[in-house]
Amino acid sequence: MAPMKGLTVFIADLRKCRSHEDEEKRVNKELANIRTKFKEPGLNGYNRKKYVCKLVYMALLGYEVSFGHREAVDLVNSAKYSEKQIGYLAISLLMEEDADYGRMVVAAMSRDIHDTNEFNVSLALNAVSNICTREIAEVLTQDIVAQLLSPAASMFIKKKASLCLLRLLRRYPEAVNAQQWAARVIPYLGHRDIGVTLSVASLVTALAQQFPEDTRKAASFAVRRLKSLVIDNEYAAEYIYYKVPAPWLQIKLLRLLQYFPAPESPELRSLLLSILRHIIDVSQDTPRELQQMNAQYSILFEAINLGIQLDIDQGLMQECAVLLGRFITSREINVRYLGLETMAHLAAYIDSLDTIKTYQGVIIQSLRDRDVSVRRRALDLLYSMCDVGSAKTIVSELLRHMVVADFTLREEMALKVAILTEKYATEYSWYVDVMMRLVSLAGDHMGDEVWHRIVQVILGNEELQLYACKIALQTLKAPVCHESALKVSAYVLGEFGHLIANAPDCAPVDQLKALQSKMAAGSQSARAVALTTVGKFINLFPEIKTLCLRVLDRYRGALDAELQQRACEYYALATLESEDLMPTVFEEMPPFPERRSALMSRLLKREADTEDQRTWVFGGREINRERKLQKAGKTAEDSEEPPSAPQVLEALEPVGLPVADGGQTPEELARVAKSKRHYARLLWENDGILYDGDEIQVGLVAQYKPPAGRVGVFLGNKSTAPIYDISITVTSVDESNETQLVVQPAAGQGPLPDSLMQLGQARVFFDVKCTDVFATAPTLRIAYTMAGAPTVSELQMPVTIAHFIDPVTITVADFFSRWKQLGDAAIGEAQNVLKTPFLSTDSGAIQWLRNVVGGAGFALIQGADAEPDNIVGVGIATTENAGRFGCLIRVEPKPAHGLTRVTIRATNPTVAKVVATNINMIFESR
Amino acid sequence: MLSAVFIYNQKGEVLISRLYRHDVKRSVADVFRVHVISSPTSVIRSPVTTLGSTSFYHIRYDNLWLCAVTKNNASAAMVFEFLYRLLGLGVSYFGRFDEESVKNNFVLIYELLDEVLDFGYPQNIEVDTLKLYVTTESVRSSARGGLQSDVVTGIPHSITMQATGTTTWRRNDIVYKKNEAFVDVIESVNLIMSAKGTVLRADVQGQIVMRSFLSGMPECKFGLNDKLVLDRDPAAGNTTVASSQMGRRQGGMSGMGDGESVEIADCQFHQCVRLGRFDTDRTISFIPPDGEFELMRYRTTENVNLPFKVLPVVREMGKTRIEYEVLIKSNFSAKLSATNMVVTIPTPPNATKCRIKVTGSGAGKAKYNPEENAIVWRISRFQGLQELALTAVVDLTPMTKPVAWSRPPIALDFQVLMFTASGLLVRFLKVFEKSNYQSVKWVRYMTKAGSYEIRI
Repeated sequence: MAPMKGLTVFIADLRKCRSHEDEEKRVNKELANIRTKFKEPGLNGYNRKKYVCKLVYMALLGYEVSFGHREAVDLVNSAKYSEKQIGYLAISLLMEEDADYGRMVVAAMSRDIHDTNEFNVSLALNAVSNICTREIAEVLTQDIVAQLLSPAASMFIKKKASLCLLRLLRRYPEAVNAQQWAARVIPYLGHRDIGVTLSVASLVTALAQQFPEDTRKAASFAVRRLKSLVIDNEYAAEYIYYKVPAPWLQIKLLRLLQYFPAPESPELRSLLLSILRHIIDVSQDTPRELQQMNAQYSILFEAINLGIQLDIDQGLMQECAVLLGRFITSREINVRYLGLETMAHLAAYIDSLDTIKTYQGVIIQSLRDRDVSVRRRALDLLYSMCDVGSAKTIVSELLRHMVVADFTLREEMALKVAILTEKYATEYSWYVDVMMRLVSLAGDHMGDEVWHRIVQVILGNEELQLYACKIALQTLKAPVCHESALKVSAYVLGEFGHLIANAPDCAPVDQLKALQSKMAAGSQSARAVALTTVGKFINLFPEIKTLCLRVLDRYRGALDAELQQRACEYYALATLESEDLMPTVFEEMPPFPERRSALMSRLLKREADTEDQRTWVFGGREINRERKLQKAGKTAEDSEEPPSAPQVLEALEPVGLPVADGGQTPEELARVAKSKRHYARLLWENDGILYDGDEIQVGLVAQYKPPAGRVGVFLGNKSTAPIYDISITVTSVDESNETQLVVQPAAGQGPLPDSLMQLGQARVFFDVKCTDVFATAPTLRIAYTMAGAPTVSELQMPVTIAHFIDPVTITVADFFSRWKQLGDAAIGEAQNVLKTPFLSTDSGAIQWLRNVVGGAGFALIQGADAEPDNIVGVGIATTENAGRFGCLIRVEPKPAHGLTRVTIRATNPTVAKVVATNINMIFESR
Repeated sequence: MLSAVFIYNQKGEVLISRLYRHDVKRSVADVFRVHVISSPTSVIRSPVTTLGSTSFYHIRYDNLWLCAVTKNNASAAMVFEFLYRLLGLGVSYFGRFDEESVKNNFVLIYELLDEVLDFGYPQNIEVDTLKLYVTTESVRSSARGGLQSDVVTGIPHSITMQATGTTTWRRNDIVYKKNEAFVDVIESVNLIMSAKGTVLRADVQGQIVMRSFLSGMPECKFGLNDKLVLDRDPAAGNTTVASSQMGRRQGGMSGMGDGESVEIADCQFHQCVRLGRFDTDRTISFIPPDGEFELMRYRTTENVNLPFKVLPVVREMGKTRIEYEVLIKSNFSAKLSATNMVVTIPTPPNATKCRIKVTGSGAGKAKYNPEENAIVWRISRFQGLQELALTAVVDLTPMTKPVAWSRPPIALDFQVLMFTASGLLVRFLKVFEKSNYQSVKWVRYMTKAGSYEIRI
């Protein structure tokens, strides 16, 4: 940019200002100057740019700029790059969301996005990302998607466009209509430019979190792309970072894959596995250089995370565990940290914890690491890997460590110990011992939830109560007693003190004395609990009533209102005339209803939220599985939505010719008519072209051996550009014929090629089997990507019940008797009078008719009919499960009228109808 | 109990850093700089800033920041009194107290700081006393050299006498050939007036500054037209003998009746004034320090004579134009005049162009000053009972996001000689000395604008 002297001088002036007041004065002066200049007519572009720059600088200094927005918009509309650039800069800094000139800005952006000059496009895209109002999101998303998908746009623009979309998606997920274009963006994961792939990967990752269903296909692209990077080593030299090819892309793709379930196709699955294995193999030796190590390890950790998430190969996971074991003893803090974190992830999914357990000692050692975040991760890992077998060791280690741990860590530690103890307790004594120790050790660092929970558990388990009482009394008798411990002990003794009353040294008097000795030092809330216990003692042990009353009496004068109230009320209750009220009030507490532990919810609350959703949480296998199930439940609900657009189109187009988007132009109609002819031809001929478009040609070769057959589909590339990502599948149009006609890719054939060059051909054979009579032909779905644009063609496949008709030769007499028989029975008859004008013009028409009937699978009976031109035929449709159906046909051409009557009689009405429709179509399209 | 005293320049660079206690580190200077001086958020700063357990008390003077630091709950009034005394000390020693004079007198300032505070407790901070023994050559004082030898010989004795005697502020061996006393009554008048002309607040802050050049230990008595005194002793109001003695400039006073008395809301005196006498019979008697000092300060809120009336008319014509008509009338005797008058008429922040016209003789010049977002009207001389008017049309630039203009008030700045807005008069000043010499006394009055604002 050429220097602007006025601007430089202005900035220098402001820098020279010694105080804020001076600066403000200078700014006010400049603002007044700019106001006058903007008012004068004939302001040239350079000056406008200069003044807007000054305004921007003032805005950056924190001054309010209340004018000049229109001038900025003018600059945006300028043809000069430097002016446009400043204009966009000013707008992205100064514009408010609800500005009334927003429309002008959107219009300018829209124009620039469609500009041929890619610098203008990228300026506009940058501005969109920076401003990102709702209006922009609504109006411009489609244009930006078009830029991303356009084959003409440069890599640079594609990158910017996809990042811009990512920003819009994050800001206004509901305004950008992402579901519409998500599927079309995905193929770009396979783009040869790594920069584009990287940007698109970020976008797709965001999409995958919101629309897991629509982006399912992304998995296969990501896997293929990873393969080309990792295994095939297809990348440009400039993408190598310290000997690691495009580490950022690898990580992005690996992370993206974590949002999808394991791929179903065995081919993809094995490919993915081989990629993971390759990554793990490469990382076996420690790189010397720091940057290389960072890059390589990041990929490795992400790969391990993916492996864990997919949960497909336990052997691989065990190997990962060994590798991670090496990392957690590394000298690098970062590596230790990541190793521990990833191992916690592994522990959350892996079937057998044995491999991890071999590192238990090391992990416990990590609790004493120099680095606090490593200590934290070690705690998480210990929590995740704990099971019945190791619980005692881990819990005792954690307790031992509690005393020296950081204050910040103690609360979490206490919570985790409490949860683990409760979860894996096998002996009551152990539970009570551990909890009482925990309360004494970490009482200051935990919320009330912990001691509440202990009381809940003790109240709920009768077997626990006696032992708990003993321990409670012991705790009270100890020289020092923590406040929470005092609360628990007081509560437990109040409830179950009578259970131990007969033991030595546990007499009611001893209990009261022990309680009294600790009560004085307790806090207000602890004393309140203790007072209630005293009240309960009066009820439990009438023999020490006077002693208890003395205690209550002392607290009747307490300064604290709560204590005073309790003391007074209990005292009054105890000295009441009637004896009935006391036992009712101080009755033993009922066990608490079973409920989710408050500890768990507290722990989960601590997990922070980030931009990308976490795919797992700390904890054992159960909790993660639960999460997965919850998620699956949610997607199942989601999928019960009205059918999406393509399905609707299919339903509207029963003839099943290429699904056309939108209006029917004459060209379109011609194409449909052409396709119809192709289809009709294949109804009576076994080989031929099914579809002939601008880009591709589809041919069909069929062989039937009723009730089975084999259909070969040939796909040819007619265009000059290569096509990628080909898939050829057969689906049934309606549900009913799914079982009646079984279509499967034939065994023993290789996979489709990744790409098809000009004039290249790909083929797939399908095995078809007719199990029952079916009415509708299946659909052939051909999907491919050409020049970045994914296309789907859906064609009706010429496989009908009529194709499973075999010719049968019978005598003329037999024919007529059966004809009559079927006619009388009226099981299935279809009769049509068709217009056949070609009969009078074409001499070979009659022969053609014969060929058609013969080709459709009927044996022609010569001389059965009096009229020589009339054609009669017999065939039998064979199904595997429903049996065989006879079918008779009679075609009576009337060349004089240009009409032909076709009558079909069959033992099954559907067969008759389908054959009639087929003949109808054949005649029509001649 | 101050822990440290710092002096910063305007940019926040530490010029003087003196620690008195060990409870703060030298680096607290940076804390104050970062949180107060350089802080962009606090344009309006509190004089006391407490950060953590440390309190910073600061005052600004010229281009300096004086900051006292304490960790204790020190009396804020004491700390500020100390800071202002320190300031006075600086002014008295160097003439001007600014960055340059601080830089030129580092040694002297550290020496002074050593004297005035001991372990954080204020010590003798009397200028006259300190000047006796803190005599390091300051840059300004070249003339003092001759005096030095006299003083040095008598130092130990006279300092002790003075510092422990009853009049710590005055040496007893002062001799003048001509005994004179000058009294200046300086008032600043504050006003907030609504657009309709209602006075919302008006008060006067006055200060009486005296310069005494009197020999020996003179005993002075000072009389004002204090309402309390006059009400109690009506005869006192007629003692015009004293006032006629006070020089002919007294005669120039006008605009208020002789018999009128003034209700002084509150006042504070220099330490030399005998407060006991004032409390019993409201006589102001004192032994003045030598040279210039502020005898008293006072405030009045009743019967304020406003020197100017302003009648503003401001019309916003749509979103693109504003019209002003401002009429100013002087409200004092035609014999007097106001000088250096500046009228600041605010304009909206989106003003573009101003067409201004002023009418009346000697109406001065007005021009649009974008730096302050205001029309600034300067009138060098404004006679009493005169009227001047200004009309202006201001063009506005449309704002992208219209915000109503806050309409800040019109502000006036002026000074009027021989006029007191409070109506205060010096009735007499009597000087008694053992040698019974004749003395000459002069009185001068001046009223300045404090914050004189008229809403529009």
